[in-house]
Amino acid sequence: MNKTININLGGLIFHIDENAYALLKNYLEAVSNSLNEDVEGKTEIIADIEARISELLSEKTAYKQQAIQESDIEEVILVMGQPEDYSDTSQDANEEPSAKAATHPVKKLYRDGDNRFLGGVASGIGHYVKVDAIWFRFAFLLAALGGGFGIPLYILLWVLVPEAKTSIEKLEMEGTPVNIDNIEKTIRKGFENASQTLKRGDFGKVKSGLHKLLNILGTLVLRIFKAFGKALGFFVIFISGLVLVSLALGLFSLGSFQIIGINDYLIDFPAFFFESIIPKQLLTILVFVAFAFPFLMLFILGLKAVNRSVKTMNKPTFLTLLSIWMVALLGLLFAGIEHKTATAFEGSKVHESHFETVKNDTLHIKIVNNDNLYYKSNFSRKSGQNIVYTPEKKIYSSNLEVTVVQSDSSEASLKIRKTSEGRNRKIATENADRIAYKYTFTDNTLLLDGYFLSGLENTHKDEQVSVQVAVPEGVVVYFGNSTRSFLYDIDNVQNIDDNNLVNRHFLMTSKGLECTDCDEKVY
Amino acid sequence: MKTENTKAQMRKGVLEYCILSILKNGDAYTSEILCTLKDAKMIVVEGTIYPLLTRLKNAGLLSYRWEESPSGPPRKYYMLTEEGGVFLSELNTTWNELVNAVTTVTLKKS
Repeated sequence: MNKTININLGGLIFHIDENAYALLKNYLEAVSNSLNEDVEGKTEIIADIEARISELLSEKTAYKQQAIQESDIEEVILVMGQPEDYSDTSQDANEEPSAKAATHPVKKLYRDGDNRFLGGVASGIGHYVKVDAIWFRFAFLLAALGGGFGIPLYILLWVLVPEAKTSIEKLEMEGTPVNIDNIEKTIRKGFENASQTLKRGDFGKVKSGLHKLLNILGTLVLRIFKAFGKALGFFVIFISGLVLVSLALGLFSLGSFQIIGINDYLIDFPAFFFESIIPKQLLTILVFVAFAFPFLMLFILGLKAVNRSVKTMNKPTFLTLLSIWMVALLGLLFAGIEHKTATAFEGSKVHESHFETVKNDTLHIKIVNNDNLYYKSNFSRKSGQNIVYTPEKKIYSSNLEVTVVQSDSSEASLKIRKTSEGRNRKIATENADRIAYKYTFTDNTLLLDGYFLSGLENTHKDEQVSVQVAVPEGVVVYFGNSTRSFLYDIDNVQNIDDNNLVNRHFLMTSKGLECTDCDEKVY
Repeated sequence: MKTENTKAQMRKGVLEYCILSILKNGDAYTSEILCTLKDAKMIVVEGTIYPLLTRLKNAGLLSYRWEESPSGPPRKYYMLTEEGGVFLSELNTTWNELVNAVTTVTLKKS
């Protein structure tokens, strides 16, 4: 079954098959192109030719009410001759070149609308230099990603280079000699395009100059918008694709790392991954889904922007994915709330110990850091805490306070209060108890660690160690330089600020600590 | 050098002469001219004739008028102008000279 079209050819009306029409149209176009007359002469000659074709066709359809077939047109063409037969060579002084022009392929740069990715620029250039279009696409992409000039260059070419619309233009684009055989081939190849043109019905319309100009401007603007849309689409595809790939890689490597058990060394889990009822593996998947789904949607949107006809997921698939995503979000929400409750209560643990101070000697208080630990530490931006490897991964915190008070007995004592948080007070106390803090006392010198270590799961918890040194009356305390930033709220007779206590001797009197070698001005 | 080309050139050269000759015997519309030429095997395909007719007309050797046809749209009837008549007689002379020349040459050779 074929659609027929009514045409007026040389004053007669014909019913003509769609493909026969396309053939005839292209034939006339080819003839018109091969005439070397001016426009006026051409119109007249074409009118004569049309009149003759109309005569020939009416002879064929005289007896029967029949639509004109492709074969009828072929016969007519046989009678009328190939387009190059029309060229009136005797008129030209330079016969040779014009004879050549008819038989030798003419090559022109057109955009290939049949083989387009964006505007068919790359495939057009490909035809022109006879190299597969993919290389030019690749080059454009490289130029776009590299220097960025690929995008404006492409748009410029898109706008400037005309699209090969007619069969003749297509042949010229491919550099095939323009004769009726090749035209026919092109027609058969591009028949669908021809029928699309028919549907649009934009042939043969006489357009005024202004109308044409507006049309051109319109298509130009449309093209530029389309190009921007497509460029944006590519960008979105690129970014979201990158994110998806890295997410998938992350998921895969996290999964496999956990299986071989090296997770603690290589992965910094978010705080709420610890102490969650939801297993780490499941949480990982939830995080993956929560992030992957929106990027998948973006990716698909990008594809759509680049090519409207791209087949994407159907509704059920989308709804399934959407609900999985919702579940993942709910799971993460739950984990987040749970995470918050993990720090709901504060608890502390106090260790008290006594130590012997040598009479009439000064008690030196110093803060020591473990250099080995410190230099292995690794500042984590996420939690604002230092991570050390002991070799276990631990939090290294220097949230330490040191204070000195008067002992209520004749003995010196040390009270270490560790504070942490937990889901309830018991857990908080247990957490506090797990904080590792050390000190040593030798030769009348109290060496306090300037840091404490805590489990990685406590990243988000507010943990602190406060050291209270209680000394009996008559003991002289000397604060070493290293204690400077750790001294906190130390009462003394002269009311000296904590910052000015270091490198001074203080005697514990009944009224409290009294500086024995301080300048008046520091009071 | 292609023989096809030479043949076509020879044909095209005398085609104008033939067309004018046909019209000398009376006005004719395009299809009639075509029929005569085809019968005489002067042309193979019809396409050749159209640019030629237009050119002759533009040169003032031919003119045409529209005439109603019993079937279908009006037809274009070509006729010889005065100028065309003069041109034709000149061509006649030239043709005869040519035929003589060619005959003489070819006969001498064989």
